[in-house]
Amino acid sequence: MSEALPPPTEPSAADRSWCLWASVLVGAFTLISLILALIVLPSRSETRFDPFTAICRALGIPGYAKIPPDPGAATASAPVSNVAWTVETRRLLSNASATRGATIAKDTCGVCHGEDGKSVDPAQFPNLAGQSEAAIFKELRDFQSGDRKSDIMQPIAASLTEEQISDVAAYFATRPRADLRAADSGVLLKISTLARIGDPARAIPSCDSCHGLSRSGPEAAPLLLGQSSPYLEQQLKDFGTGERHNDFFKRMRTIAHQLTPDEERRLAIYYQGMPASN
Amino acid sequence: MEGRAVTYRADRLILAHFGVAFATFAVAIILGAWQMTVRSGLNPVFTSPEAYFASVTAHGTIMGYVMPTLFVMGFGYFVAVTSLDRPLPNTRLAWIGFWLIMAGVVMAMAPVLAGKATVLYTFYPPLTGSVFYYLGLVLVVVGSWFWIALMIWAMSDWKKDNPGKPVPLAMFGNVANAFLWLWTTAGVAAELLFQAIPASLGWTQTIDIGLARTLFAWTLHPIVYFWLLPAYIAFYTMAPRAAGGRLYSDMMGRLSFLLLVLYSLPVGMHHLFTDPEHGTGFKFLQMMLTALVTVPTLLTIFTIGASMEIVGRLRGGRGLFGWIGALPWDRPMVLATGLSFVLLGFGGFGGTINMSYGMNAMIHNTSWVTAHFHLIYGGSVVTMYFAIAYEFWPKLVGRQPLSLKPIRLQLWLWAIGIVVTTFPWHVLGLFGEPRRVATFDYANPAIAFWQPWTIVSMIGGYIMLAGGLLFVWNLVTLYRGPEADRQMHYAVALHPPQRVPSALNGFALCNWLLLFLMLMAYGYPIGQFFFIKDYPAPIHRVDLGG
Ligand code: HEM
Ligand SMILES: [Cu+2]
Repeated sequence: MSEALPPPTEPSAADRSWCLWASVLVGAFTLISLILALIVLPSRSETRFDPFTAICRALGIPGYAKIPPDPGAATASAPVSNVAWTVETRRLLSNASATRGATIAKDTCGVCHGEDGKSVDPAQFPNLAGQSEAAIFKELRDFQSGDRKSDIMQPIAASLTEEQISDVAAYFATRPRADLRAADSGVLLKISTLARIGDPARAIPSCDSCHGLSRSGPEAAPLLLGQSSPYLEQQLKDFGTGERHNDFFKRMRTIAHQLTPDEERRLAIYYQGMPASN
Repeated sequence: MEGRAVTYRADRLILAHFGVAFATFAVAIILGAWQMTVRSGLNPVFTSPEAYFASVTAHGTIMGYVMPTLFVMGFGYFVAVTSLDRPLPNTRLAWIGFWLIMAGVVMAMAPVLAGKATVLYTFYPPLTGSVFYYLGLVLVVVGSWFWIALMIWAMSDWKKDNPGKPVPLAMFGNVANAFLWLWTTAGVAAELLFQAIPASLGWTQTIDIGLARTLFAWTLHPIVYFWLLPAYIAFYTMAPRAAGGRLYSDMMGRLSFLLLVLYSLPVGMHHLFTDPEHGTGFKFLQMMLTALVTVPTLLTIFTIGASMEIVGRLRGGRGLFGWIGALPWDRPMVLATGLSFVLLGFGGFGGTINMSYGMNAMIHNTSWVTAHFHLIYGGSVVTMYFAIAYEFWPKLVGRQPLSLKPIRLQLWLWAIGIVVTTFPWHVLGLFGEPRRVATFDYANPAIAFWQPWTIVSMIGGYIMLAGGLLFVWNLVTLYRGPEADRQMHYAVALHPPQRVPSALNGFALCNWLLLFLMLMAYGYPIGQFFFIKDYPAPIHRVDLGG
């Protein structure tokens, strides 16, 4: 290796021209790309050259899209439920008060569902103790709007405000549930497999994936364990015929109409459960 | 240039980094093979969606963060002491960084194994895992910042003592990677500290998913180049010498490293082409900038090709391609370079599809993507990690391998495994098979024909697994080998540089240009979330199990 050169005292001409040309190249490339991205391409096939609109469109600022939203799209299909899991809904639920809910439960729901959420006639009225807050909230709102039909529940739900509904949902969610486990010894293996794993050949997903204790499915899927079997069976039949239709994306209707009456009955028994200590 | 022994008490430091990197790697490839088996519908033991996604999280976290970070750090320390021929400026700081990472790895992996952080390795809220997962990864990043500081410090000390001399090319590439990593981690660090960690502690009800995805994209692309740079450094500074020749051009190496830093950062939005939170304008700009990454790649293929051609012709190769056959393919570094180039070629082709704004929609979130990065990263990059380990390990422990045969076998197994795994995987992606899905219903006639392809791909996975485990075995048997020379020699350039412009001997200009490009590319896209629109979403805590 040759002897070390003397240390440079000032940036040499070569250094300066590297800096200059590198900056010019990078800057020019960026500028050309930006002109293409913000003006040329977004104004393609426009009759009038309008750079302001083109830039707003390229930046994604609302109101400048090329294709106006289809006004018919919103009305084309009626929603199955008016509940939406927006941030506002979540906020409503997280501000709910179980204490306020307790009063409503006593005055209004207790007669049928039991003050502590243990139903007086589980075959007709579901147990609400320990049910998920989101599920109770959604069903009450659906009764209110008529998306789920019930001669008894509709007027009751209609008399409650959104806040009251979330309060009462919060209250029942905190009530202790009976200590149960699925009645797997009471049904065929085929049935418990259906509940736990599903039936890929019929594109039936596992019930537990949405309704199980460690479920991670849709927000408002209720817990099934501990409802009476006649009640559950009736719901499956209603979904199967489309009589009940407040399930988003027809999730339950698609599944239920594939179940045989025997499967419906046995799945209902499975989820009615048995004492956990058994 | 004289050879340098690895002394200066850095040996144990480097071995610690490499050791943990490859130990976790061995665990991760076992998980990978199991994941392939689950996806192929053969129902291996423990099949369940929960287990699958916990496994993918562990596999991705190890392969994406733990293994490469430790490898690159160990590599950097090795290159610093051997190419500059002096001790690290501060070995104690290096060890502190290492132990921070160890603490972070344990802290992050525990919740993953407990199923409390099944969020995969890309931080895409509203899915949010245990806070310990995020804190652990913060420690990993902070530990690696010690390395960055040491690399920059080592180079500037050396420059002070050697005014006017060009920084050795290997060290130059290494410091390029340190700066690259500093810029890269800024995005994910911001996301973790200001979004993911507050969310996982329950301090906030909602999280801005648009901002989070943008910050992660800031990191997601350059992190790939951080993984890649040691491979490129080996191409330039090790492969030509291993073949018995010289590097065709030192200048091209410097230029490539600088361009890789420059054009890996302002481009991450190409991962968000189908996302709604950005308009088309900045997506297009970042696509244009992405395309520039072909420049350093082509420079490298040209330079290394030329270096090798000289060797091949000196060894008697004739004709247009005869020199290729004349190269000493029995040497691991040469073989690895060849295999790596081939895999890089296929992977690069796939990559141009991914980065094209229009075509991206065809393959978005399909198996094509997983196939692509296994080919580039698992294939061409990790192959070079193997070759680097085979080069460095004997110098670190002073032992030679007993035989080169198992080493060549290992490299071939891995390359064949990669091809058999990823080619069918690409095809499946074109058929629309989604990535990150645990099980498929092959009884459904619409997708029944996927299964044979997934089974072939799974077999490739097991070939890779065999190659990966043989690699670990080869390192273990090294300790029984005969004494070895501990001098590290880097490739010498055909015309060794006497003096290079300061733009090619330091990073000031590069960093200024990068600042400009980042402001142009991300200024508006990030600013809009604060001033124009936001995308709050309710947080979904996977660690709460409900
Ligand atoms: C025996 C070798 C390997 C096999 C069989 C394998 C297999 C797999 C499989 C099946 C997945 C999940 C794909 C999905 O669910 O869509 C995956 C993901 C992944 N693999 Fe590998 N892999 C192997 C080696 C590697 C290597 C060497 C690397 C990188 C160095 C790597 C990096 C990753 C990453 C980053 C992910 C993404 C995780 C995520 O999606 O969050 N893998 N791998
Ligand atoms: Cu990318």
